[in-house]
Amino acid sequence: MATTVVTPVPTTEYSGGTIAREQVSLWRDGWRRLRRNKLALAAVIYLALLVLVAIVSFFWTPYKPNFIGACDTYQTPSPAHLFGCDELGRDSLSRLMAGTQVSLFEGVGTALIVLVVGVTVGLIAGYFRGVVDAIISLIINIFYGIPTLLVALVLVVLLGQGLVNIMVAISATIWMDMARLVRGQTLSIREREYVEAARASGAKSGKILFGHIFPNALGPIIVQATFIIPVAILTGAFLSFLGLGVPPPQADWGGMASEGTAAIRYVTHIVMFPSLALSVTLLAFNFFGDGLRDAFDPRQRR
Amino acid sequence: MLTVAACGGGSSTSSSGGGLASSQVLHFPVLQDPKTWDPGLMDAEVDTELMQNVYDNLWRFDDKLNTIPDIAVDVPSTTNGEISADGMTVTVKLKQNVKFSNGDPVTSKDVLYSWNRSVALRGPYRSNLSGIAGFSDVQTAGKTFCAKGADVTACRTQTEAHLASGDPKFMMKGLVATDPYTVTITLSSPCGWCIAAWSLQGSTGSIVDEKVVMADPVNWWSKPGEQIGTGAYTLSAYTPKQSIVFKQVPNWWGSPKPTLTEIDIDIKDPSTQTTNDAAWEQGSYDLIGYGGDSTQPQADILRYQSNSTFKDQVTLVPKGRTTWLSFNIGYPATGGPFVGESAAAKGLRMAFALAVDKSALASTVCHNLTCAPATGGLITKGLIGYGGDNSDPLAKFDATQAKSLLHQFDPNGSLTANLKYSYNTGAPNDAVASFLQGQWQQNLGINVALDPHPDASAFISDRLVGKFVMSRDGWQFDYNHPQDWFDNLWGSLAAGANTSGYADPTGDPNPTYDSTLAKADGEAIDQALPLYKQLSQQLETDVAYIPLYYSVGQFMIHPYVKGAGSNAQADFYWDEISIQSH
Amino acid sequence: MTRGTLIYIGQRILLIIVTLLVVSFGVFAAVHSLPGNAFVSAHLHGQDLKDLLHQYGLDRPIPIQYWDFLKGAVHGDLGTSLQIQGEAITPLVIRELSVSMELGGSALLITVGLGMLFGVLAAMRQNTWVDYLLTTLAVIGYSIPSFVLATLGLLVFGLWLHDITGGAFYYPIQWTGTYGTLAELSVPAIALGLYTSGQVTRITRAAMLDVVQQDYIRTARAKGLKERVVTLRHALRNAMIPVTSILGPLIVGIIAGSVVIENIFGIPGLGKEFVRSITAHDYNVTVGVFTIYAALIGVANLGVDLLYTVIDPRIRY
Repeated sequence: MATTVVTPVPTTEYSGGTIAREQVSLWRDGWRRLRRNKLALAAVIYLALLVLVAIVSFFWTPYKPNFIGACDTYQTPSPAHLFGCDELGRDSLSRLMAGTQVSLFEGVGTALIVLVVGVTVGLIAGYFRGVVDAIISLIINIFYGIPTLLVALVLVVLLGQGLVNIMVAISATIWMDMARLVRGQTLSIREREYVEAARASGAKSGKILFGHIFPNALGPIIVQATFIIPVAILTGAFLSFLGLGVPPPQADWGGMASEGTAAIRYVTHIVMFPSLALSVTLLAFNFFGDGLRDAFDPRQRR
Repeated sequence: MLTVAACGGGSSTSSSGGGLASSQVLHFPVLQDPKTWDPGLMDAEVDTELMQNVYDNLWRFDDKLNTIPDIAVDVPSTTNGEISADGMTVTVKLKQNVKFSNGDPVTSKDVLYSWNRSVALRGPYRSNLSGIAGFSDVQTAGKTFCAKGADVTACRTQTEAHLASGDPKFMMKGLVATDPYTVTITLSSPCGWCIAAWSLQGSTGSIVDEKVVMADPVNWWSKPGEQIGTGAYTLSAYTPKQSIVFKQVPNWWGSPKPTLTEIDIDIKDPSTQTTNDAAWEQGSYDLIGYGGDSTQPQADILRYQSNSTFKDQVTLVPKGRTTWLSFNIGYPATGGPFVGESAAAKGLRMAFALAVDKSALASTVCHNLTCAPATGGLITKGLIGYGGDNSDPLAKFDATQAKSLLHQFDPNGSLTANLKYSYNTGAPNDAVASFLQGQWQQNLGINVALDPHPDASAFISDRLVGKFVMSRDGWQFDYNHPQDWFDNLWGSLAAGANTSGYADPTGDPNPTYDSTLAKADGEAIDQALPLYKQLSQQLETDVAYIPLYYSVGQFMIHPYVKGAGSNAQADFYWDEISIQSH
Repeated sequence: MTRGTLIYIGQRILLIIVTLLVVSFGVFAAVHSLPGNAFVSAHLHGQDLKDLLHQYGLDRPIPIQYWDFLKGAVHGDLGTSLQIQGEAITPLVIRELSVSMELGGSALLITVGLGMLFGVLAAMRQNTWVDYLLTTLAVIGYSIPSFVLATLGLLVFGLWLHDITGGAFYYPIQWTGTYGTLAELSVPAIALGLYTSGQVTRITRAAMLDVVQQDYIRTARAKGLKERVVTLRHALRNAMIPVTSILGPLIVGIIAGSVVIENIFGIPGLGKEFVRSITAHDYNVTVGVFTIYAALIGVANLGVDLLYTVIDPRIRY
């Protein structure tokens, strides 16, 4: 443990991919195990519905989500407005549906950015080792030493409140786990015989990295990416709650909860539904992630 | 604190039993830390609301916004001979019993020192004193020791030293102490609004004590024992971000004598308004709304309206604050379809104005509680210069007319495509923005993008240099005189925020506005009013803005707090308040 | 302490210093390049504003301003606030730090205490309903955003119970002094601590199960010690290691959460200060708070690493 300076972090340790076996059976096995996990299965169904809602909300919502005067302000739930109305007389159900887009974009978009950045950085550090690795590790350690939400706050204020900017800001606070995971995987995989063989036969670095090493590290990478989604959604909601989310009038759950908090003594439905939606969605992603990890790494399962 | 909580207790039977309570301590929250309590530099409302109880001016505004004497003996006028017939000289007689809270007597020298100092410090409100001859010389001299930069202490200390030593460069030549209790003021031109501007509480006209300022030029105002004024209260303790305590000045010179012995103020974050209100209900606070915190969460006010205990404890007070939409008229570089005075530009401005239902705005966004539709021009209802209900043609809502104007001047929609409405975020601006977007969508079929700015400071600085095509704009009056609106907001020489560039010489020259304004400013109010009215009409004819709403403040005051309240400008003074036994 | 340990500590301190320099400069440059400033108002603009910025030296190049800031900062002087003009920042943020530490410390206690308790219980009753319930609760715990918990707590304790009991139940919804009383502290600390406790539960449970299967536990069992004693003495001690290893990230998580919680409950701590200072362009406060947090995290991580060697003598650096 004396070689590098490493801060302990709560990454789950993965061993998936260390055992050489056919990719196809890995996926098939994984899927079979995932289906047996009832909680994870329920989560998958919920998330599929959520995606459906997000897609539908682009084309149809009961009322226009930003339409002021769809009903009386602060109106409590009724048959015409199942989730009631907000402080401007906008239909809460419609806004909740439209808010799904923001949460999913924030979650999945951030995961993709982290995937690209983390995998690239991790592969480079793990493959080239030496000075490159030392510099990258130093940067990773510096990022581990700073308070995440505060960085995101500063970045959003600096970049402006667009959806993409928010994703970039959140990515900047959580890319390190992925980079470190991939670096570790790369370090171990690059010593394997088939990688050695490829190198000996004169294959280019890029080919080795993305042709041999990356596919073998894919399992843990996917599991890690799944866990990034709820973290990103949560951070996005934090930002919105503090008034630094997607710009109005776009509905998003964190912003709706924040608006509802101001009216908390008068009516509770405005804060209740987005809070509930946020919590259940995060729960589903976490159950799904757990199930995925168990499925791809049976030795973790107990 | 605990005793108040115990007797307030949220019980429904708290009635004013008559007679004074044994404890005369007033407890309320404010939503901001002081920025500065130096009258020469003060700007924020929270600061002036508190400091009007600590410093006095020569005159002040009473609860009905009339100018009445404070340190001075009378309000000068041509009738009482204290304003000369040519309007160029004002003679001020001072009361002879006025004392600072440290016991120092107030003489005409203190008036000279305080006013010259305010100009030399170059604070945001120094233009209140700009009518005095020699103003601009002192204003320029004030830069002398600050040119080097990056050293506020040196700049301030040296400026104060020269003020104290009586350096003539730092003395307005129009300001003369004729005897210890007489000040003669020579103006650079006749001035109809000067007395009102000099009376503005907690501002550049306030009288401060040279001795204490000199001892600690930068921070004297923040320390108990050093913050010295002539008001009935003085700072007793201040913990930044947490609390401020003011205590009654013993043997205060003025009358009637104050009843409250102590004012306990909690400094709270704006995000805690809902819990502040709950704490008020539960009896922890005696009142809510003082210190510039007069906009409460709407849901709370709605709830109180339907609650038998609290219904009568909520007072709605129109505040002298108008919100409108500014078009970019005079900044061709910024562009947009509204630039200039062509028929098309004016027609499109009119189309956008007529497409907004202002009554619906007030009922939807404000529930007719926190704002009222602006139908009588820029100047708020209740102030001098108000145009009268429904007098402003721009306040009308006529979707048909709006649509036909749009078709006439932008038949294929190319001019009004890709428009943005810029505003600083927060309540109620977000709601207003969404509402406007909906109105234009519905009534003109135009999709205007929203351009929110979370940083109000950056938004204002961008707005002031004309960077926005359509932007939220507004003004809260300082003193009750039309000059405060017309001089600061519009025209080539606007001292304040000429957001639209209207009548700007670099844009579309509008010399009539400037010359009418100059004439009006020199007249006494009776002669000036018709001229100001002319200016209002000119702004209306030129469709220079879209009037949106007049703000209404909400004050929640427990019935045992007697004498508390507010007018359109400021809170009623603490020395008018007493706590009844309850 | 071995020589290796000393070198390790030296390395870590160096890393903390590098981090602080990089972070403080980054944030300094970022906040100074934001549009707007602390002074702008409807009454102050144009040349006046430029003059004022010049007076305060805010028109100089950012590296020069940073150098000035740094010179003060190494002596513990973070300069004066632009928002409350002339107020020294250092004593202000130290007071706010202590408030945040009261809240954060309480939350950390709840996190670790509750998390480990649940983790141990779940492991001892592995694959029973207790295990399933507690592990599910753990996931629920870190799926509910802390501001949702905080709002719920505020609603129930601050408002509903007060109304239902006709005012007899009184939860002080606002901190009245600098530091919170136990009652004032309870709801925000729980809202803040519950989120991270789920992670501790999982880690404790996993570590316990690892240890239980190890030889010496079996030996201990064979010797006839009661099961509870086995668990506590051996397993718990070993389970401490992974829990300790995530203390650093837990603290980061609690700091992040406290920003929101302090804003909801109006707690006069660093998190609230940070949000305020950014929007108010109170540059030195923003940079100061950020740097203090970064230093806190660095020191916490170092402390955790050293704690390792105490808990697990096998670890050497």
